[in-house]
Amino acid sequence: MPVEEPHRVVCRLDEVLAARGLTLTAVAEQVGVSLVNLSVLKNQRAKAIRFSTLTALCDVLGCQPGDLFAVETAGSDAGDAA
Amino acid sequence: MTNREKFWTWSLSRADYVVLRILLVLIPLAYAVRGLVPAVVDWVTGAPLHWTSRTEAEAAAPVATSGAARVAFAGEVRWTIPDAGTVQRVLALLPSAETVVLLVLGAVCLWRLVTGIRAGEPFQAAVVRRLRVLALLVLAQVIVVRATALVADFAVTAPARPDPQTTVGLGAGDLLGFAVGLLLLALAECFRQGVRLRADVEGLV
Repeated sequence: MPVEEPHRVVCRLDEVLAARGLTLTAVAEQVGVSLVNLSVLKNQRAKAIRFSTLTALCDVLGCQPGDLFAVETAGSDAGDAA
Repeated sequence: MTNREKFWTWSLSRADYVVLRILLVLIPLAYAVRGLVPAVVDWVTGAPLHWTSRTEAEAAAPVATSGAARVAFAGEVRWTIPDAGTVQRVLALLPSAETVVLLVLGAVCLWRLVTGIRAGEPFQAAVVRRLRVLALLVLAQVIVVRATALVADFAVTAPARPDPQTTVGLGAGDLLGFAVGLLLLALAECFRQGVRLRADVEGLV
């Protein structure tokens, strides 16, 4: 897929947070990422994530990257346009 | 941090920006006062027109020398024309007036550029645009003002010469101006790449 096309990656951070009863603020503090950036991720406005941030998120939430992100099939509602 | 490291990593403070802004106001003002006001006052009061032009000729200078050394005036002569017409007066003012306009435009451009950079957003399309405008203003100073000065020189001095002529040539200042203009264009290109890189990392968590 050419890089210029919109992506179909969906972030399920809000579902994972709800399942673990955690707030965005608490996770941001533990991960070491600003609340603004984590909010960008949660609201499907992120375009890329550092591996270090992803590692820290998975450690704090006790999950795998696949639990946080999924690629929607083409033709369904896209998560976010680039 | 060593003193050398401090020197190379020094950043502008709030006071530095205030000083820069004061200079951006004072420099065009000083040039206008020095370059335009005396000529306008002379015109209004009917005083002789004073004009400086380049010359290839040399003339002996009243400086004592010893041995085989020789000293002479070279490069510029100063005209005093008591019966200058309106056209001569206007043309004589034109190069300085153009320079003042270019200085004011450049100062406004630089003021806005510095404001954008100080706000923490250096890599924006507006900054690239302002750098290019600054480059064009510098090149305009070298090309347009120099061309105007040549025309003015001929028009002002021709009635006062039996053999009307003017001296054409690029001085060190002109070459420096070209270099500065090209440098600004190169800097604009660097910032344009920065805008692209900034767009690439927008949305990066």
